[in-house]
Amino acid sequence: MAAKKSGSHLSKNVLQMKFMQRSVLRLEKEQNEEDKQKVIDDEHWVLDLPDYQIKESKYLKDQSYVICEQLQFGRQSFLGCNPEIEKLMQAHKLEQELKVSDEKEKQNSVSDQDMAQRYSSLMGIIAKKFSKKRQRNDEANDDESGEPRSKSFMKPSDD
Amino acid sequence: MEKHIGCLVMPGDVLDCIKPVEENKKVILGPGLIEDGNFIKISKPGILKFRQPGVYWIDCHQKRYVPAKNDSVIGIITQKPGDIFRVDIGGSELASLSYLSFEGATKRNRPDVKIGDIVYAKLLVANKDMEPELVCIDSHGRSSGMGVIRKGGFLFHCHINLARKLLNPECVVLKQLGRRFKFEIAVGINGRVWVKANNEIQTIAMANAVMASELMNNVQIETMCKKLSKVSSGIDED
Amino acid sequence: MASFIVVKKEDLEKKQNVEPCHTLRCLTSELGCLTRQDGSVSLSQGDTTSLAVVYGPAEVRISRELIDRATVELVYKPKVGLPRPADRKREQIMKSIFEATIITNLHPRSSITIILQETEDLGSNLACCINAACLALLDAAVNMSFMVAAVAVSVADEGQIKLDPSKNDEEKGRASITFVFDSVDLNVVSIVTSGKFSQIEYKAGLELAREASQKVFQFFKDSMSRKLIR
Repeated sequence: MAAKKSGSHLSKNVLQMKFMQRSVLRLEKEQNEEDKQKVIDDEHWVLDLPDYQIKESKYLKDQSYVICEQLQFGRQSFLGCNPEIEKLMQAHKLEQELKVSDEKEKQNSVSDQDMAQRYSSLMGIIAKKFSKKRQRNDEANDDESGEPRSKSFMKPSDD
Repeated sequence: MEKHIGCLVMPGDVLDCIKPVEENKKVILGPGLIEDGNFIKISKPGILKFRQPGVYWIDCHQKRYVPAKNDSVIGIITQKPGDIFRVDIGGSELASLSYLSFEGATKRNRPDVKIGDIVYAKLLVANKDMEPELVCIDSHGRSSGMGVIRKGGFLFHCHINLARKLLNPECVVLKQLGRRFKFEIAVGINGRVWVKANNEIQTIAMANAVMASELMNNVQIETMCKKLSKVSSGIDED
Repeated sequence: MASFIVVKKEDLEKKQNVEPCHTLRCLTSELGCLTRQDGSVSLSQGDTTSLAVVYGPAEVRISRELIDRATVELVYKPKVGLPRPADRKREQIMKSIFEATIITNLHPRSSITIILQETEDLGSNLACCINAACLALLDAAVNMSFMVAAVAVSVADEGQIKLDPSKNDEEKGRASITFVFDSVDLNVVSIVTSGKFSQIEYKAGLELAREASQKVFQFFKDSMSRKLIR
């Protein structure tokens, strides 16, 4: 395919030159093969079936009890029998505690989605603060183009 | 659904109301549950268990180990053909363990592993259609407690239930024993337990205590540990 | 394991005051009676007793390996002597039943071996063997798509149908039929017959056996709950 692309960039005059004859032959051959392929493709039979849809399962299969029962790490040491393992146990314990506290925090604090929603509504207000007065007026004019501006008092919105 | 949880279920029973808690989340089906169209079929006799968020499994009594991914097991090296070790983990097939999957192992620097050694390893590949594959390193390349277990000790086989019970965070066997005795233990989820204490007598005592705890509840375990520590202090004085 | 009270058949019948030909004999089981096997059970139906053990999913001989499912092997050992052709036939029948019961495609390239030892044959031996094998599979927690229960009936010369016949009934009777039912819809999985019987007798026997099979399934459940719920 790459060869074909580069070939198409070469002009006719260049291809007529004597040293380009081999390339011309190759290009012709490729063209012929492509045509042949097309003929075969048309002749090939196609089953007119609706697309096979892979139904996504709502279940995950897991044959391990370790995940189901949240089992601990299997090597343990007590009262300093194997300091290396005890260090590991300590690390595992810390990890577990961190996980638990993380989960607790997640439950108590504002979720990411709530945060995003709050900020997106705030954005408009803050943006207004930074835009110049004239710009603001222009925007206002754009919004109400055609309609005469009412001179009556407008109640400020709550937010 | 709730009425089935904690109850005995038998093969052929059908559960039709297992549903995800939230729409886009999936339910995890543990051992003994098989998906069959819209229903969940039970394939093993046991007690249906449930854990938040949406994990269901059957707690059954079993002796034979069926390899599952990420399980930590105790294996015995049985063969050394070429670049891998063949390890007996109690499943239907021997597992393979590459000599490069040890901490600090390189092509030059082979780990010192002999036939008959005990290894504590994790299952990297456990698929019904493939040979199980073990590793003795974590994803950072560190051993993190895995590898060859030497220095004596005693290895015994038990029911898979007992191994699961020992590792359950709610079970007090190891905590109670650990408060009173100086010992080290390695529990493979494939029903193999390795124990080591100061001397042979204590090692045997620990192994017996662990084996006896299979059918006890937490209160009984506590009394057993108390008795054991009284008896053993008597031995030490003699 | 829990202890069991042996109840004499005659006493039980007297107590229940039910017609003896329409009841199952007393079922007792001992799960995990052997320690080295993955699953073992000693089951007695009345005085007929058999011992079943299960190994699996375990290593398989390469000559018997199947790449897409587990190989189910079943060995029947008579009380005395070597297995005869009749025993071999019985093996084949039971093997085909358990191949359907066990979800074999969950454990490809492995074997599930069931060994049955006849310990006492006093009637309905085949039914007792099938029930023992099923209970042993439950004890080993092999993945199964359903359970099976076998119930035997015999047809006497006068056409009277007897459920769960004793050796005497079997020998005197004109025919004996063993029905095997599945636990889901109580459909017939397999039938083993010998002797001559009419269609009406067959139908009457089937209904009688189907009703009795529910008791067998309940017994399986009770046995497992004794083992699992403490």
